[in-house]
Amino acid sequence: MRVASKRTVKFCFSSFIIYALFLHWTGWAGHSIFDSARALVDEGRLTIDSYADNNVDRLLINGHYYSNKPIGATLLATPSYALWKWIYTHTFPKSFRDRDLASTTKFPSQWYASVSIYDRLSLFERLGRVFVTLCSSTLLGLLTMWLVHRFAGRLGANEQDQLLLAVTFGFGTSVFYTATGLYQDAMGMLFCFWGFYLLFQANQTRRVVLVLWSGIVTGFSIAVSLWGILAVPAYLIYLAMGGHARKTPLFLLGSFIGVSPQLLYHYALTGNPWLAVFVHQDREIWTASMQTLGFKLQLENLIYIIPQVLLFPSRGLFFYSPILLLSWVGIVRMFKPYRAETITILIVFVLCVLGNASMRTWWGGDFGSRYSLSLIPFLTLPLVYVVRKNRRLFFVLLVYSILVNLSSTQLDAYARLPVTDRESDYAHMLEKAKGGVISNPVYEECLPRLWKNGPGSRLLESFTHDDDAFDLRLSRTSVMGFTPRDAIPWFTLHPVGFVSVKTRYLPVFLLVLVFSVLWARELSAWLQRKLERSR
Amino acid sequence: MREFILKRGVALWFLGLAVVFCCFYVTTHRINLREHWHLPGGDPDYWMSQDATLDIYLPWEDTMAVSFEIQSYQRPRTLQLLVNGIEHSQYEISPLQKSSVVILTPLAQGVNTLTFHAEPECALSWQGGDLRCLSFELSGFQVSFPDTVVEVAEDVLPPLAHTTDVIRYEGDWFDQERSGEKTWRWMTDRATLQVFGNRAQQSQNRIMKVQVSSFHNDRTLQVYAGNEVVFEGDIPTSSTKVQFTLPAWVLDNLLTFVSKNGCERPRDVEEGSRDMRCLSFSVERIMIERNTL
Repeated sequence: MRVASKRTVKFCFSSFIIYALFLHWTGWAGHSIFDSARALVDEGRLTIDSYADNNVDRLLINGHYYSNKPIGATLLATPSYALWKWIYTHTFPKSFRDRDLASTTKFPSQWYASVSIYDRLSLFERLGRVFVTLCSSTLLGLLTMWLVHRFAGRLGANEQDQLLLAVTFGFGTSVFYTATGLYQDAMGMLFCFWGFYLLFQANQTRRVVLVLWSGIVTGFSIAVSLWGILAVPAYLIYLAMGGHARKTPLFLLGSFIGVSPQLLYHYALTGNPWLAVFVHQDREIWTASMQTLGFKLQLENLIYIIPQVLLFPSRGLFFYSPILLLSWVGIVRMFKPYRAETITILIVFVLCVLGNASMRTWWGGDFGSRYSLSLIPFLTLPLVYVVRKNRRLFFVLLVYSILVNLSSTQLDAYARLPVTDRESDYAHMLEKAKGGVISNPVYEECLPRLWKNGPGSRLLESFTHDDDAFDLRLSRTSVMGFTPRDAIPWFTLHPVGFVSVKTRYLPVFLLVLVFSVLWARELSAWLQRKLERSR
Repeated sequence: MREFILKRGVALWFLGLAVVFCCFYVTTHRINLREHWHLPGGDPDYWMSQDATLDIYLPWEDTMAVSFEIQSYQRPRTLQLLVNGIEHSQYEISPLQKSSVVILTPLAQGVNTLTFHAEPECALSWQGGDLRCLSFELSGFQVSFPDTVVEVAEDVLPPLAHTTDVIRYEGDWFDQERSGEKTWRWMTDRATLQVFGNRAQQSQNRIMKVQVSSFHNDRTLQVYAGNEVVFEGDIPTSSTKVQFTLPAWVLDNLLTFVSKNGCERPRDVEEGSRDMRCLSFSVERIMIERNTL
């Protein structure tokens, strides 16, 4: 069976390069996964005691610190960290490694006695973050993009439309921001959607083993980002609608196998596999963790919160991924040929939105709708029925969506919801939600900066100073500051002065250059066609 | 030609990219902010943490005027300036308002390093996920050639610090203009100079010499220090040197230049001119010297 055409592989590779160029490191979520993988590889244990001062996203159980992210995310990040450690050890001489590892500096936080803030990072740490992000969050995000491409083909899209939908998914939605950082949500999204794809195939081919695999994959998505749990009821209904109701136990067995790493994690930490470890948030930092991390399903509040998580500019799914508004047209058109699939998508949508809106910290995240990420591939599928019939409208919305998401590369401390809001209680944010627009980082900060400076590449900008190279952090996560990142110094030329390369719009140039090399044959053919036509 | 483009299309494409890169991305500059600076979050001001450094490139050895505005974060701090690692001068900087700092310093040919040392050191802000350690906010950083507009006699310079009175143009002065070696600056009918420096207020026994000319017609120039007229005289359209004694005490170190006959627009008086500025006097050079009389 042909997995992908040469063109698709080239497209995926090109997307990988774009994602790599826009990698970023936003802080706590990344630390939590990275340090957990590090503890597993370096020390062979789950506790992150050695790195606990590095993070606020941590659990404290029986005097030991643990990552507060699901264990699946750690397991997915571990191979890449181990590989990077092996490469580092076998590439650099010991004298350099000793010097490099000692070069990391930290500052004690003024607010929490047991928290320090990394300032200068060793090359090992900087490149490690790049490597682990690329090999876990980014790679799995792009695999989901490939799966969307494949699924769209199964629903009848031609190759061109498949590529267009893959572009839509990868660059026109919040997936772009999330998969260019180290987030469990980007990893969990793949497994959640893969479970649906396998069930779809099971329905088409009547292969029972696929139901089991779907269960395993869906279950594992819960162990990676927890949000996959919302898809399980939808998949059970899908099984029933496809005439596979009798295979429900098989699916549930698979799910149990898939989620078992998380249950084992609970057992290892608390002695009880069914006790969610997340209630053990470190009380030094999360003074009211039971309140801020739980769920609260109150219908009178959801009236205000659901519009916020769907439409409003602070976190709205359709605000950050406006192309998905067309999915509703697609859903109507898809209903007739793929009734069961359409109903499943709708159930996933309802459950995800309710799940996100009933979270006490529904306002959390960095850019866009990270908590609704698992929903995005589902909503991309119905676009198969829009891209062909409403091409012009589709393109207009797609360009706008890409701009909105590309503007995330200009996100900075000043464009975000303040972190103090995380500490605020549910009632405070509910009050804000009742007032309408909470914040509008896209229009107020990100898009104007995108227009002025072009898309910002943390990776490129890190080369403005030798000691910062490959440092993906935003300026706000640096204590002592960086070199201003508007130009990369090149050399000093007498009597002109410093010769530098401007970083403004530099990623655009680099992408054009790389794509010109990658797609040279197509470019040559296109140029010839143009010239011959004008003859 | 068409055949050539057809055959070499891709090569030409890459050549075009190389040209775009050289024209739009390669840049040269004389000031390079090096380390311990925080990115300007949407505004042109830079925050610094501790011992922020910047490099100034000079093609030849010269004495330069370095000026900037600075404000301390949360509490008053002492700013200690080091030029090429050698202590130059220090200032008390308030958190409540921006302070103007202007220094004269000899710089070597090539790369010179300016270090901003804060005492007490920077403080963590920890607001809205902001982990930056902040000491001073810097804006309007400029390095200029003082000898084009300001000349300070060597004996007025403090012997070690090389920090002395430097003149800043404020308000209704137009940008500096240059023609060959000659530089000048036009003013409207009223403009202000501010004298900076550690000893600006101890201005006894100092005279100010101004090379000045009037626009289009002769005009009467008045120079005020506070409410006191320290100079009044007719200025012709040709370049003329006037001099007056600086008062012992000048309110805010401000000297106000006033044209009693107002100003005129070149567009109104010169045929074919589109210059809309209202001009009265042009100042070529201002010198502060010790009064030896």
